[in-house]
Amino acid sequence: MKGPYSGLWFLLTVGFAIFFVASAFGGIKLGEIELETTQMYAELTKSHEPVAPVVQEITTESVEVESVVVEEPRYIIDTTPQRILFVGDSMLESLSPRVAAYAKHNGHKLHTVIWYGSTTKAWGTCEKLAGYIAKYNPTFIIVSLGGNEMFVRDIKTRHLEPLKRILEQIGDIPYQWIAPPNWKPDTGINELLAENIPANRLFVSKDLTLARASDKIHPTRVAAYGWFDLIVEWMAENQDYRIKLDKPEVQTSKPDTLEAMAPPQ
Amino acid sequence: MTLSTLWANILEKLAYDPQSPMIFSSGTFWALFLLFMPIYALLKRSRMKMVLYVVAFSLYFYYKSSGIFFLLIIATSIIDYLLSLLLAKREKEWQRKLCVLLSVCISLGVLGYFKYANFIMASWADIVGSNFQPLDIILPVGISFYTFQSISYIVDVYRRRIEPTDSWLEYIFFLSFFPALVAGPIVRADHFLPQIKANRVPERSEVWMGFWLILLGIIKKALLADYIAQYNDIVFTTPETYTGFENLMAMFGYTMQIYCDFSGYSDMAIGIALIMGFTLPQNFNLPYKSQNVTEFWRRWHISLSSWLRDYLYIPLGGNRKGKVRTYLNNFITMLIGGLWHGASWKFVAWGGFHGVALITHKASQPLLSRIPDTRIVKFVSWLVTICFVIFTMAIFRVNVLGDLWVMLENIFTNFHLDYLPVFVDVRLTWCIFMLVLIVSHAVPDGWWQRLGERFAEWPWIVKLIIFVVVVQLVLQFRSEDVAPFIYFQF
Repeated sequence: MKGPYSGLWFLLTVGFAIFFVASAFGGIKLGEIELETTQMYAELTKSHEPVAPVVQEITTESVEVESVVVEEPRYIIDTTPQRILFVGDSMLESLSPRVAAYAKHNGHKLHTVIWYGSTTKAWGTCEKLAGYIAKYNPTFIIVSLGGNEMFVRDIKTRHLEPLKRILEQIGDIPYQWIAPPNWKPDTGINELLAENIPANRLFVSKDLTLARASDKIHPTRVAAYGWFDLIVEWMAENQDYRIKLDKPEVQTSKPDTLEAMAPPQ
Repeated sequence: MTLSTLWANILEKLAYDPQSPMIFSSGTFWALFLLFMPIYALLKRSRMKMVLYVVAFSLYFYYKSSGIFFLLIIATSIIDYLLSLLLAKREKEWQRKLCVLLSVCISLGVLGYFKYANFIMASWADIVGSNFQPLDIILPVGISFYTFQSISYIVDVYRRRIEPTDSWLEYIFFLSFFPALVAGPIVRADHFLPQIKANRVPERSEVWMGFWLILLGIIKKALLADYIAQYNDIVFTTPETYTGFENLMAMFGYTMQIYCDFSGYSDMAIGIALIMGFTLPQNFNLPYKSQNVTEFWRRWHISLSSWLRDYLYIPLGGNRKGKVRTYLNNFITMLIGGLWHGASWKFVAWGGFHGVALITHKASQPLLSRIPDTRIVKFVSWLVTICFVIFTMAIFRVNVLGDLWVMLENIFTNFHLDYLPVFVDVRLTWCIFMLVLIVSHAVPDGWWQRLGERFAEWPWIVKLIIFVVVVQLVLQFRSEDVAPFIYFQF
C-alpha cells in the first residue's frame, strides 16, 4: 500500500500483532507488574461445541428400601461454565471483587446486583429478584443478605414470608446463601435463615472473626476476600450443587455486569 | 483450534450484538479499520467507488451498533433526499416551506417516537394521575445526531445555501459517515458536502495528526474517563452514605469524566475522518478554562451549540427583537438543547439552569464590562463559572433530582477537609488522573495542536512505542479496582 496510509497501516498492524501474541501467551511480567492482555486470542479460539455437564458422584449414602440398597447421590459437581447472579446488600461491595476473581478464573459469567441497605423484607416484597433472574437467566445464584436486619424485633415472624418469597423466586435454580457476619448478637436473623434454608446451602458467618472497617460493621476488603475463600471451601464440602470454584491466582476482578440500587425507601 | 472454530468466532464478532455495540475504542473496530484502510486507499482514486465503499462500511458500522435500525437511516435519507430535490425545483415559497416542514416533521417525528414517546406519556400520566406502562421502545444509537444533520441539510437547501446532492449516495454518505455517526460531531452539510466532491487525498502529516487525535481520544475516553467513572458511580449511586468531601470529589470527578468521555470520542471521530481526508468541526476547546457561561458554550460541544444557534435561536428571532425576546429565545434554545440530551426532566432542568445563566450573563454585561480585567477578576470569573458547571453536570448524572439536594446538603453540612490526606492516600491514582486533566486544561490554547504537529514528525518507531504504551495503560487500568468505600482503607 503506497501513499500516506502505509506508515499508519503498518504501525497499526504491528501494534495489533503485538497485542494478539501477548493475549495468546499471557502472564507477561514487567518487573513486579503483571501485564494485562486483551481477550483477542481467547475470543477467536473459544470452542462452540456444547459442553456436556460433568456430573460426578462424589459420595453416596446407602439407603435400605425393602432389602434393596439404593445408591442415592447427595450432591453433584457441575463443571460447566455458569451464569452466576450475585445479589444482596452492601456486603457485596467487598465480596463481589473476590467472587468475580473466582468466576473469571473458572470461566463463569458473574452478574452482581448490589441493593444498598436492603433486607430480606425488601427483596421479598418486590419482584426485583425475579426480574434479574429473567434478565440474566442464571444457572447459580449467590445471596448475601441479613446484615441490615440484625436487630429487627420478631424477625422470625415478620420476615418469614418475605424470605419464603425470595426462595420462591429462586425456584429450582441452585443457590448459596451467605448469612451475615455478625458484629453484635442478632435478634433472630440467623435462626430465621437456618430454619428456612437447607443446611447445605447456607453458610453461617456469625461466628467468624473478621477485621472490620472503621464503621465496625463491614469487613475490610482483605477480610472479605478471606471470608469468601472460606465460603468456597465450605461449599466444596457441603453444597449440594457444586460448581467449579478453583482458587484464582489474582485476588480480585470485576463482574461481567454490576448494578447498584439505592437503599429501599 | 480448527479453522471452522476460528471462522465461527469471527462471524460471531461481526454479527450484531446488543451487548457490545461497535465503538472506536473496541478491538473489533480496530481490526475492521485495519482491513478498511488499504481498500479505502485503493478506491480513493475513484470518487464514486470511494463513496460506495464508505457508505457500505458506515451502514455496516451502524448495523453493528443498532442492528436492524440501519434501515431507519436509509429510509430517512431517501425521504430527505427526495424532498430536497422537490424543494429545489419549486419556486413558490409556500411549496418550498411545505417541503421543509414535511421533512422536519418526519425527522422530528421519528426522533420523538423513539426518544420521547415514553417520557411524554409518563409525564402525562403523572399529571392526570393515571398508571403508565412504558412502551418497549429501543432507542437507535446516534439518532439525535443524524436527525439534526438531516434538518440542517433540508433547511440549508431551503435557504439556498447549498444545492441538493447530485445523488442519494452522496447524501447518505453525509448522513451516515461512520466517524461522526453515533456521537457526533454534528456535521453541517455546507461544510461536508464540498469535501465529498473534492475527494482529497490527505497529506501524510494529516494522517499522523489524525492518529494523534485518536491516541488523545483513547487516553481521554478509555483510560481517564473510564477509570475516574468507577469512583463517581459509587458515590452517585448512594450519595447519602458519603461525606460532603467525598460528594464534592464525585461531582468534580464527574465533570472531568463527562468531558473526557465525550471529547475523547469526538477526538477519535475527528481523527479517523482526518485520516480519511475529511475535516470535521472541532467539538471541544478546553471548555473548563471558560471565564463565563457564554464562553463555556463556545468551547463545549461546539457543533451542537452552533447548530442550536443557527437552526433554532436565530429562526426564533435571535437578538433582533428586543431584550426580552432575546432572553426568552436564549432560554427556549437551552431548554430544547437540554431535552436533546435525553428524555428526562433532569435534562430539561440542566438546560434551564444554563438558559438562566446565559441570560444573567448577558443582562449583567453593562456592569461586568466596567470591572477591570485583572488576574484576580479573571480567577474569580473562572471559579464562579467552573462551580456552576460542576453543579449543572451533577444534574446530568444524578439518578433522581432529589439526589442532587442530598449531595449539596452533605457538601454544605458534612464537609471536613480532614478527609483530603486520607482521600489522596486511598485514591492516589484517581487523584493523579484528575491532576493530569487539570494540568491539560492549564496549557495555552493551541498547545495540543502544536504537540500533534510535532508528533507527526517523530520517527515511526517512537509512534509505535507510544501507541503500544497507551493501549497497555488502558488494559492495565481497566482491571484495577477503585476502593468503593474510603473507610475500608483506613
